[in-house]
Amino acid sequence: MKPLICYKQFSPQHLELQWKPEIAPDTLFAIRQAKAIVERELGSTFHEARIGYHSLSLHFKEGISFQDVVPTIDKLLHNPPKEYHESRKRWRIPVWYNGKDLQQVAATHELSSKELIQLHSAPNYLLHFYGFMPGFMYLGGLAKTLHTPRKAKPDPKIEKGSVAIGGKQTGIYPLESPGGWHIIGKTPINLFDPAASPPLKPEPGDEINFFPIDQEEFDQLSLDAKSAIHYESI
Amino acid sequence: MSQYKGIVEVIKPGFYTSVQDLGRPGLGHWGIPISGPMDEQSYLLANHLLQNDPPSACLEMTMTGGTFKFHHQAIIVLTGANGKAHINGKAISINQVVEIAAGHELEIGPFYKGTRMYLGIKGGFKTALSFESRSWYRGLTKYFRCPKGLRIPFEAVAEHSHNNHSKVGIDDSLFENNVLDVYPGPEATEMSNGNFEALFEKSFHLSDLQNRMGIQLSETFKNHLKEILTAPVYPGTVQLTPGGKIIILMKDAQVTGGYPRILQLSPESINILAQKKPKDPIRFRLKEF
Repeated sequence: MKPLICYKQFSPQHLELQWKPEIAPDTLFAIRQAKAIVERELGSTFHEARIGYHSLSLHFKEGISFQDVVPTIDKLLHNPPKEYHESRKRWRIPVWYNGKDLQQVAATHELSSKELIQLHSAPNYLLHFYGFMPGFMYLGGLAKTLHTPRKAKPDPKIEKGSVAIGGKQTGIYPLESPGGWHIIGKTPINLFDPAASPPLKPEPGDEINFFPIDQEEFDQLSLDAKSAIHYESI
Repeated sequence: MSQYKGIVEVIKPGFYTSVQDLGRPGLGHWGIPISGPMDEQSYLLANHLLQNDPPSACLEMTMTGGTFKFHHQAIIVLTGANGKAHINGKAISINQVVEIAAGHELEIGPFYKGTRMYLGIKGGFKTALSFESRSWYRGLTKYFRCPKGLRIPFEAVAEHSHNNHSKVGIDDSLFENNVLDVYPGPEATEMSNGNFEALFEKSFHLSDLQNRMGIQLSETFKNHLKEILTAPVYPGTVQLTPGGKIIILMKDAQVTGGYPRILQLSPESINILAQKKPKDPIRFRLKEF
């Protein structure tokens, strides 16, 4: 497992564990394992554990002493239980690649629309965490060719289900929102349902794969209220 | 059909009014913000005065109060910011528990002190729950700000109340205090020599770029920090943008962010900041833990 590099306390109740700053699958798996261990051993003492690309932040219920808590966590993480294993899934998400910025993004990178769609739908993206808004996935693995600086002027309204590229990332807007990413397509699948339990299915550590569909398939899936997101075990 | 008999009709919603309870802590892993009252102290005072449980939902009004018609009798209180308030033309004061009769209107004007006022009601407002909280948030609840004409349910009071209504004096410290207690944020150690210390040497002022997600300060603060890899943030996290803008995240803050996190406000300082207006001065004071 990738080693932790430091602990940073930033209020009496907040402690952050940091790994080397990079977006890497190894880092995510180390964070996920550390999260599982501290949740199991110390879970009752904090409100929640939040993850970022290279950090795990703990919000404790009471003020903590760095001198007490850090050695405890350090000890737990240095002797990880051998049985630790995550079962991971690969979720397949249909996308109708007809976004309003598709042509422009393709042109920027001197690609045809078809080449862009192939590049975008080929990888198995790693779901690092949810952030930005409820149900918004931070995905790792976008092809370098498709890295595109965010728009200078954000769009005031991006439709729910829009699939977009922003900087080195790609993602899906689970709710209508303003946003500065380039819209390349749309999924008919409802990824975030606040009335469902849990409200979303893919878990951090899972993979996401996009597959192209046409307008007819999009309409069909949109009409079918039960159209679900499918996965395979990996 | 609502199971609650009481209804308050919103005649005028005011500038920005929303239903708030103690929010949704613990759901950051789904990208769901904590939400809840911007000034938790005044919100809790409203429920305390009404002898409600702390999570009983109140209305949070921003800068200007609204006009509300009570279709059923209720026991209410206003806390937090101060502004002229009348029930059918008769003045009521802040922090005073009062009974309002069915058919009467509560009219609240612009605030002359503070920015956020809470309308508490005996038994709490009973709008729909989302993840066990009634706090409004875009995408999770039907409304995120109060529209005109909305009918808000509450638990109607069955009998006339007694005369033991409490009233407390106004504690002005929340409004007079300009000092925000802070701790060094995760990226504080990456600031250059003297740059971090400079945060505590001068006053800053609130800009008019503010909402329930965050408050931006007017000043530009020179720095050499670059954006960071997206990392967790919380209400009270102070971000410094590459352009030198300081943003203090508030209760509807998203759960992660990409700007360096230079400071973290104490929970009490979030309440103080919630009552400040654009152009008001603030200072940061470094606290030990």
